[in-house]
Amino acid sequence: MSISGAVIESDPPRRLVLTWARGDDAANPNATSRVTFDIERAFGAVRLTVTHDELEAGSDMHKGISAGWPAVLSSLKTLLETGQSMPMTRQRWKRAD
Amino acid sequence: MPQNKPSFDAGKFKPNTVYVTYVAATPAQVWDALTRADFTRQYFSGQAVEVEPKVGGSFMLRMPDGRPNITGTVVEWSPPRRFSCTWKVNLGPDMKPLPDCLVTYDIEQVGEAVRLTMTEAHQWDIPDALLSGGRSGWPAILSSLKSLLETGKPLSIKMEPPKEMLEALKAGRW
Repeated sequence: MSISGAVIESDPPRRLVLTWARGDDAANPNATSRVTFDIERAFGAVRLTVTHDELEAGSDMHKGISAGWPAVLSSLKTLLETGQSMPMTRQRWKRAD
Repeated sequence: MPQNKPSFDAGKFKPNTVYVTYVAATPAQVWDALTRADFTRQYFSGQAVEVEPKVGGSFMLRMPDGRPNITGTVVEWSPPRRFSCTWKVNLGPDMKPLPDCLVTYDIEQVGEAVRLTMTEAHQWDIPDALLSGGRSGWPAILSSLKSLLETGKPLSIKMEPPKEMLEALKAGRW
């Protein structure tokens, strides 16, 4: 799926807040959710917290992002630590099950 | 009633905290990282896992100074796919009132990676303040496990229990 949205808050390198909708839902506020990235030093490492809210419970978007964020964020961590992302996230991502 | 069955029903435990991470490793490597002390010492706050590899066997995480921190009983032992055990926190006077929980690791091959799912479940409704310990701890521990398997080096994480959990324990709010 392609995603579009707008930047609500940008405070580099600590916090980024975005609106989040499928490309074809971009003009529909009811189909728009919100994603917040918080970046903190914690326990000697960086803690990245992703909060995806204003979602309709049980919607396709809710199901999609519940499966998708762990995969994408795992790959982001691998990319930063090893220089290579995880192969599963290099192509168009499909639901694992 | 068979004597080797645990005396509780895992179905009564309700998941309160679930953490999913993908690791570039094999299921056997993730299984070893969870069940072998030479791995856990590196990413689990220096603690050594000791587990009797059978249902009903004993489970322990031992501090570097030898004291048993976590104790429990093996509920499921299905290498390399699923490991589940009861989980009691013993150390620290503030921690003793924490209710026992059930910790389950599910390990699945997904393409070239492994999806590791940790589920912390409880028999009773638990206030968020008490769940905050696991909710801040598990991501740190399992992030370090992932780093260890992928880079050979764990994260240098020094953890402490969240203030809100310690305050809730002191106040007896559970």
